[in-house]
Amino acid sequence: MGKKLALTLKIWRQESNKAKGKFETYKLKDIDTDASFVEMLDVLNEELALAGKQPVAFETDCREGICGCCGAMVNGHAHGPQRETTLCQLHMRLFENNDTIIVEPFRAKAMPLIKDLIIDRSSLTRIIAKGGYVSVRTGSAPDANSILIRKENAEAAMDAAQCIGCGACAAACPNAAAMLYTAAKVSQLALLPQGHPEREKRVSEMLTQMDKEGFGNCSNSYECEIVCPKGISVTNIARLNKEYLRALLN
Amino acid sequence: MKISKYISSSIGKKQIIAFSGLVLIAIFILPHLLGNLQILRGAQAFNGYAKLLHSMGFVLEIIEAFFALMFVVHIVFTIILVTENFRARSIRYKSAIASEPRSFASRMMPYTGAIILLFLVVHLYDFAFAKEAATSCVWRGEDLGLYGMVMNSFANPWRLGGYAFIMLIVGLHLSHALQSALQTLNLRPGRYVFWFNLLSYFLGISVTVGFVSIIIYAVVH
Repeated sequence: MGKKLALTLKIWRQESNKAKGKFETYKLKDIDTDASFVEMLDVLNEELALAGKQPVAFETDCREGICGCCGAMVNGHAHGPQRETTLCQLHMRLFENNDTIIVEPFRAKAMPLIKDLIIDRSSLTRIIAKGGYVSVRTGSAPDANSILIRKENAEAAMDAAQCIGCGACAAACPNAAAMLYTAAKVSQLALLPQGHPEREKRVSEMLTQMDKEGFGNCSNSYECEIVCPKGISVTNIARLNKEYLRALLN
Repeated sequence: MKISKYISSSIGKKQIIAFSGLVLIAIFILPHLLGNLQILRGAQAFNGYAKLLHSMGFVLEIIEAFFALMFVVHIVFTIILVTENFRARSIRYKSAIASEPRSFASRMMPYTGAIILLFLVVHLYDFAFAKEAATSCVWRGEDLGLYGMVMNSFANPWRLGGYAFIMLIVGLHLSHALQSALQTLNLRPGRYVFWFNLLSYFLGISVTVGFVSIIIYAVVH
C-alpha cells in the first residue's frame, strides 16, 4: 500500500453537448498513491453514487495504456504531466498531498463533447477509414519473408504504428490540428512496401477527410509530440508533408 | 491529385506559405541586409549600392513585382490558415493550458507577421517611395543622397527605437520560420533536427544583429 493523499478535484461537468458546463469541486480523502488516475476517478464516482449524485462520465477501457480511450487535460496537460503516459497509466504518486487537480475534457471542434469528460472521437476513425488499409492477395498464404524490408524502415513504421488514436495531439495543439495522428497513420503504411499500392490515394483522401472534419492546420508548434502518450515524433509530420507533395506530383 | 485540391488542403496551404517564406528569406531579406550593411562602409559605398540597384531598371522592377507577389501569397495564405485554426477550437479551454516547451517565437508567428506587415508599409513609405528631396538628403551640410536620408531618418529617436524594435520582431519571426518551413517541406531530416533548429535561431539572431548594427552606426555617427 502506498501513502494516502487528500485531494481537491475541479472537474468539468456538462450534461450534454448542448448543455452549459462548469467546473465542480470535489474533496477526496485517502487516495492511495499506487492508484491510477482513472482508479482515483472510480473512487470519486463511488462516493458520488453513494451520495445519490451523478457520477463523472469518463471513458476508459484497457487501463493499460494501449486502447486510446481515456484522456483529459489534467492541470493543463493532455493525459497529465508525465511524458509518454496515458491517463490510465498516470499514477497518483505523481501528486502531492492537498494538491488541487483540474480536469477538463479534450477540446477541438472536430472532437465534440458528449458528456463531462467524454468526447466523440469518431472523426479520427473516419480519417483512418479513408485509407488505413492495404491490398492483400487472397488465396494461399504468401511466403514468409518474401518481401524484404529495411530494418530502419521497419523500426520507423513500428514507431508510427504505436499511435493509439487518443486525440491528445489535437487536444494539445494550439490549432486543434490532428496532424500528428494523420501523419502516424500515413507513415506506418508509407514506410512499408505493403502500403505502396494505395500510397498516393491514401494520403490524399485521409488528408481531405482530416480537413473536412474541421481540424486545424499544423503550424509546427510541436506540442503534439510532447503530449503524445506513445512518443510519436513530428518527423512523421514531415513525412506526411512529403507524401502529400509526392501525391500531387505523381 | 488536382492542383486546386492541393492548394485548398491544409498541407498545400502551409507548403505554399513555407515556400514563399523561404523565397523571401533567400532573395529578399538576406540580399537586403547585405546591401544595407554597405552603409557601415560609408556614404560612397552605400550610395554606390543604391545606384547599382537603380541602374538595373527594368530587371529590378520585375524582381520587385516578384517580391510583392511572394509577400501577397505568404500573407493571404497565412490569414486563411490562422482563421481556420481559430475556428478549429470553437470552444476554448476553460482552465489554464500548460504551454509545453513550445517556442515563444512559434506562438507569436501570426502577431510578429502582422507587425512586420505594418512595418513594411511604413518602411516603403519612408525609403522606397520617398523622393530624394534635397532637404532630406543633407547630412551635416553635405548632400549625401540616400545615405544622408537614412542618417536623417535615424536622427529621430522614435523612429530609431521603432526600427530597432521591429528588427527584434523580424528576428523572432525568422528564428521559427526557417526550421518550420524546412519541416513543412520535409527538408529537415530527422537526425539533423537539432542543427536545423540551431541554424534557424542563428538566422533570426544574425538578421536582428545585422540590421540593428546599422541603427547603432547611425547613432554613433
